[in-house]
Amino acid sequence: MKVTPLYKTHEKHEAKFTEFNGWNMPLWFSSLENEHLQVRNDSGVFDVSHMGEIVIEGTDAFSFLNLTFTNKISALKNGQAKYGFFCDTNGNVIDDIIAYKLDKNRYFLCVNAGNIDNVFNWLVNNSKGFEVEIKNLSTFYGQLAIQGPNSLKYLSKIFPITFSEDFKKYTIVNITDLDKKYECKSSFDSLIENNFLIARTGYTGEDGFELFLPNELIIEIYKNILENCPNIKPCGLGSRDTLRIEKGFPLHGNEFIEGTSPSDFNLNKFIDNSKDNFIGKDAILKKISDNEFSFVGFQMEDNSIARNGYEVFNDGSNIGKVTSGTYSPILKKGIGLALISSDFSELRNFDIKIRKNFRKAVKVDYPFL
Amino acid sequence: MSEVKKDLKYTEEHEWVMIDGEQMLIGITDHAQDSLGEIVYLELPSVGDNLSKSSTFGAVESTKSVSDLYTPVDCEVVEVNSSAENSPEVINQSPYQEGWLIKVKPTNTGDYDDLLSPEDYESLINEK
Repeated sequence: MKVTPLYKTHEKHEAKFTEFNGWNMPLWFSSLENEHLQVRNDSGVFDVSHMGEIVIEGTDAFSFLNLTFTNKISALKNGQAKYGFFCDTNGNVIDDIIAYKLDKNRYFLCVNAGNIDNVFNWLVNNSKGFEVEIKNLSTFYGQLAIQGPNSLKYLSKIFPITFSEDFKKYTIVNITDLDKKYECKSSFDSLIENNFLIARTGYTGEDGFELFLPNELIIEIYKNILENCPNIKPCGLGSRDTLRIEKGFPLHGNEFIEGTSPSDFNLNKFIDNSKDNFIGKDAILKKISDNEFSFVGFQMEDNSIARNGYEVFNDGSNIGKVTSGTYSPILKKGIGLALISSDFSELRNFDIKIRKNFRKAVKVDYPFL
Repeated sequence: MSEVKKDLKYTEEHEWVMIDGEQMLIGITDHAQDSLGEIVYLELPSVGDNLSKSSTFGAVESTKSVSDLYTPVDCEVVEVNSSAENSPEVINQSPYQEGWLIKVKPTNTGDYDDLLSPEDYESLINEK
């Protein structure tokens, strides 16, 4: 199993580890629920160095990304980002990504851990005829996510620049001074000229930042964060999952599995129909008009917990499946997301088969908080 | 380190069994509750259910994961711990006492001898 540069640090912090997409990652440190509440109420830091980083650069970088990415990027300014998808010609999700515009000839992509080679190869295969270079920087970059309502306040204690409220959601900044502060000894000239990227993005539904940092420096920076900001607690992937479910965010591997499309999950706002073309456009438009599935949130009526893969029933007939489910540390209830046949989109109550029993669930809007 | 009680027998699936007169108490081990994390839901059989050895008799769930419960011996359920059903966190706090799960009457007396000794169970959990 692969480990991040912080593996030994996590061991010292007595992390419980779990296998995730071939990586041995912290699941929680002292308590999943405490970490969940810490992020909702104050802030926490996640090592998400398993995530992949890919850079597209060259004079055709815009037109190439515009063709491969479902969302609109023509209006992006330098430093701004968009969430969206890479889809195949059948309109099915290859990966959900955040694309950051560094400058007009350079885009930085954050892709899912289990999918890095897949996405990289797909991009390369589609790049014939484009003046672009596609670089997989995943082994070069680690990533830390500082998340929680107090993140902004703490960030300026850690880094030698001023972060203001103007540092909008979905923006990214380069921090040149960090090279000096951390006495960066390696030469990264062949990669991208500035190696420290901080984006006001995240996956918890709270304010927060994602820091893309060279692997060589991440141990020192992580230590610095915990020492200077004792309120930022280390958090594991367990709470990252429960936090994203409470906000109704989809996960690659749960929601996005082979044969699913963004349109199945009410994500049409990340698909730019006004573009002349992008890979998968015709198929996605057809799926939108076919409207085969309905993606719904639910809460269990009793104390049971529905989980990924459990079947959903109406009057004894199977109408779909749970894609994500958990106990919500905030609501103290089993909550989840399910993909059901759109014939039943108006249903208020349904049953979920949990082991041998049918348990009652009531449809509720997500985000759940 | 997780506690392994010397006066109990164990399964490879991390249940413990305590002899209580002609009946037996069954629960999950300290190692099991520690690996699961905060336990938030418990599903138990009904009194009177007949359980066969190695079949599942319920499930214990933490925020993040589900763990099936395996029957250590052929038995009939005579009591379930309803206070643990209502407050499953007691399994984290006291896996060997207040956090017991079911009380059973064994129907095949030989099964108990096949269970793991404390020493064997301890080496099982230390292998990992």
